[in-house]
Amino acid sequence: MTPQEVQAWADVAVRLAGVGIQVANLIHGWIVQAHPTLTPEETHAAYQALMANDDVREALAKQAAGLA
Amino acid sequence: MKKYLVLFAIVAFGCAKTPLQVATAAHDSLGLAQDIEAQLCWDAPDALHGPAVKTSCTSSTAKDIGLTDARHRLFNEKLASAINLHKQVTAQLDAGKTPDYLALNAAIVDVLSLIGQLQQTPKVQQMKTLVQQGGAK
Repeated sequence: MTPQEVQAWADVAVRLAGVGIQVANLIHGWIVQAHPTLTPEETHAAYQALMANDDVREALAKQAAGLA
Repeated sequence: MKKYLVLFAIVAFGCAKTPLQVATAAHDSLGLAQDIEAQLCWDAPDALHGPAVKTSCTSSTAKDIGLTDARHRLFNEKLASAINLHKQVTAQLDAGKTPDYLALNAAIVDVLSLIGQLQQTPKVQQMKTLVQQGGAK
């Protein structure tokens, strides 16, 4: 995935996390759906890239803190 | 004495990371610390796999180590602040400016203080080490 795509997924994850949806499996499924040719390793790498995004991390922390 | 100071300066200079390396390390280690806290609190593989309601801990481990709901929330509040400050540091580096690490380090100290209140199991100590690595210099 390109950095722009990772950022786009990150934005989706942030929005979903912010309304209390359990997003991990959804996001994983959507990555597979959007990129059906990715190998499991590449899908995992895309997920890892998403989890390396500061916006996602901050949103998750805020949600756990009860701030979001 | 002077010779020791010179030696110290050489060693310190030789071990110094570039700002970008430091920022990347801070980012990675804070994320990993967040995942470990999720494992301790919810038995989840990472922070994204937590339950829909994320403000309470559900695992027996959390009870055993003293990770109360209040500490969990405060840990994440401080961590959110540290991650946000890390973003600012990264932006400053990207803009070619000298980043200000003081606020980030203060946030890291707050997180470490909370971790210090938990029972110091190997996993808690691993989380502590990761957060310490997030304290960029």
